[in-house]
Amino acid sequence: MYTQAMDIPDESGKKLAVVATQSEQEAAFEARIDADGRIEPQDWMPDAYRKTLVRQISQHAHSEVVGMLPEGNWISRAPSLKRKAILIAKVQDEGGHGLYLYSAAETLGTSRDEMIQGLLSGKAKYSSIFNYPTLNWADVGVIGWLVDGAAIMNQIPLCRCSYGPYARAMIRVCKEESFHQRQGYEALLVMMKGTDEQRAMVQDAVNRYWEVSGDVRAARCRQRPQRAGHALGHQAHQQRRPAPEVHRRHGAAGQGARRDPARPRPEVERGARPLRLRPDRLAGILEHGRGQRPLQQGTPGHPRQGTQGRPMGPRRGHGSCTQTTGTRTEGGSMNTPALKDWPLWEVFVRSKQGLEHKHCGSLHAADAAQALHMARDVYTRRQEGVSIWVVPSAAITASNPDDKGELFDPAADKIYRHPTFYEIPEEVGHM
Amino acid sequence: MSKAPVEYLLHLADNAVVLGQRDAEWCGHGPILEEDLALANVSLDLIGQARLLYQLAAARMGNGATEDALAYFRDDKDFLNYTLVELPNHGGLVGYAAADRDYATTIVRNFLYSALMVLVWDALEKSPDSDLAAIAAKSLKEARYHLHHAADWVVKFGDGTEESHARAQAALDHLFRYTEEFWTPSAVEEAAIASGAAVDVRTLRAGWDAIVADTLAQATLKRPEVRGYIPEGKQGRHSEHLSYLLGEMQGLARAHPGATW
Repeated sequence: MYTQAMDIPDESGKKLAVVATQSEQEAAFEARIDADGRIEPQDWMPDAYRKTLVRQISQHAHSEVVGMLPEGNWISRAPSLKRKAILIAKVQDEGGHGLYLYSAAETLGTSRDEMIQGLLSGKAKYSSIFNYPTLNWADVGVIGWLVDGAAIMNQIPLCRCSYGPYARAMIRVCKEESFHQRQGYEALLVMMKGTDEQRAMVQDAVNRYWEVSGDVRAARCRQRPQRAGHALGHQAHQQRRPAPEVHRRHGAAGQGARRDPARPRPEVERGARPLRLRPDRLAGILEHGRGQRPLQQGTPGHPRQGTQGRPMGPRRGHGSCTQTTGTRTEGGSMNTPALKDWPLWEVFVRSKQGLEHKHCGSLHAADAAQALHMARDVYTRRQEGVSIWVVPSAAITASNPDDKGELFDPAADKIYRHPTFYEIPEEVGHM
Repeated sequence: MSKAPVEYLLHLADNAVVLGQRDAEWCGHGPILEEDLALANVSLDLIGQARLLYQLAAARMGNGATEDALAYFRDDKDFLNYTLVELPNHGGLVGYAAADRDYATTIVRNFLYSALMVLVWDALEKSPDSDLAAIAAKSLKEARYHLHHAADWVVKFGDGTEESHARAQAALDHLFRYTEEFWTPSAVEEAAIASGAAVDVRTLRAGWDAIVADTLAQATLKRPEVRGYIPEGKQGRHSEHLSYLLGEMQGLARAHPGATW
């Protein structure tokens, strides 16, 4: 997820003469997408493509972050320590997904600060399913089973989308998401084997979320498809993958039971009124943009409590983040530490001794030491690393995509650099 | 082979679970996304420590005791945690009063507690009670990270803006008196020390003072005077806040006794 902050050497004077015309660039862009190639941050792209991506990725990120809240509602009351730990880790993963996605969107030149302002002002949307209340403990399992189960169906195709940073973020997201669904299912299974009261909780939660999922499906049908740039239309096409394949690969909602008939299935019935649409409620949820949940204090854009309107800037005099003296109070709406003053860091993780550090994403931090700590918490929660590098994004110099021809093509015909045609004695081994 | 008494294990476990519960209140509400994840990790570590300790205590108690029975079906007066860890994430108020969460309070509390626990776990790692020593070895690594994390923020807040400095100092002024409880052994601790398997926390005081002095100096914060008040949470005499905390934490489990989750 290389960022816009990265520096491409400025040779504009020299390059101007040979810069491709707009239509040539557009043709090259289209050709790359047609060839199933990826677009990377420094590549030329049509404005509409960039704008649509920022909107789509940021709204996806907002959905992950707002999605922390309904399940988070049950953390303090989780009925066993094991379930409490599972739930905290899951809500935390959703925050992580939001972060990966914000990082991906930031490569397009829009800061996370701007995106969050959009969320707080109501300009940016998020998935309305997270506006529904979580009324009993089984809701947590049902959200994992049905909502995450549905999400993964939508998200797997995005791992192949044309924008590189988004695709890479989604690969990470999908790896983590697929097992949330199984965890939710397993939690419900245990409850269904328990007491009558537990089974009633599960049924109640399934009834409500079944109805909700009907609302959401109906809402999706009513939405007019948005096609800001035809490149994205193409992308949508490219994302399509036959559903059965998805089922086979990732075990979509409910598949666990179907695949293994020996495993007991929970005796949950579908909601009594599965298809009854509630246009009244639907309107309340969707059209106000901020439905039931956001009317509750402190959501979304979580940090309202405690720090309202008061800047909590990081320590004075930390490199490039010196603006800490409370200039960030416009309208009192943003009360996190002034994010835009925190530099962006690229994170590189060595997964085990002997391997190289590999780029895995970015994050915001006030200084290098904090960036290391945060990288540990964000990118190595699942033992992904034994060593971390953090580098200020602004310190990376990238090659210019326009120079690709002169930089890399000349190596293509130097066949004599490769040992393919030479007999190499066994003892030398693989070179 | 000497073994630590069960009550001592409960004292350690109760500290971890209660602070884990308090830290988890921020999950989804952190001041910035990166920090939200970081604090959730702290909370998960603490809950993990509590589980291991409760499991060990339950195994030694027998009679069908389980980690969840110990966490969910004991009353507040049976909890042996420090008063410090049960206080809400805001300044000093009575139990039924509410206030906004304050991150400075959370961070300063985590700092004061983890500065102690790096020393406690370090000592317990050498305990002749090998089960406890194994838990201590694992917890020590976690506590070191918690201390780094909290101390880093204490310095950033203290040596930050006027607002962040004032709030960090206020949190310190509010919380510091509760650390007095660390240094006065309870009957449970006396028995544990006598068993040879525990650590006498009084011997750790100089080390703790040094950690605190070093961080507060960097943070330009003043160490508050303490005036003789010694809380008695670890003897089961708590503030008003623990009952609310446990009411929320235990409510669902207690509404369904015997249920499996």
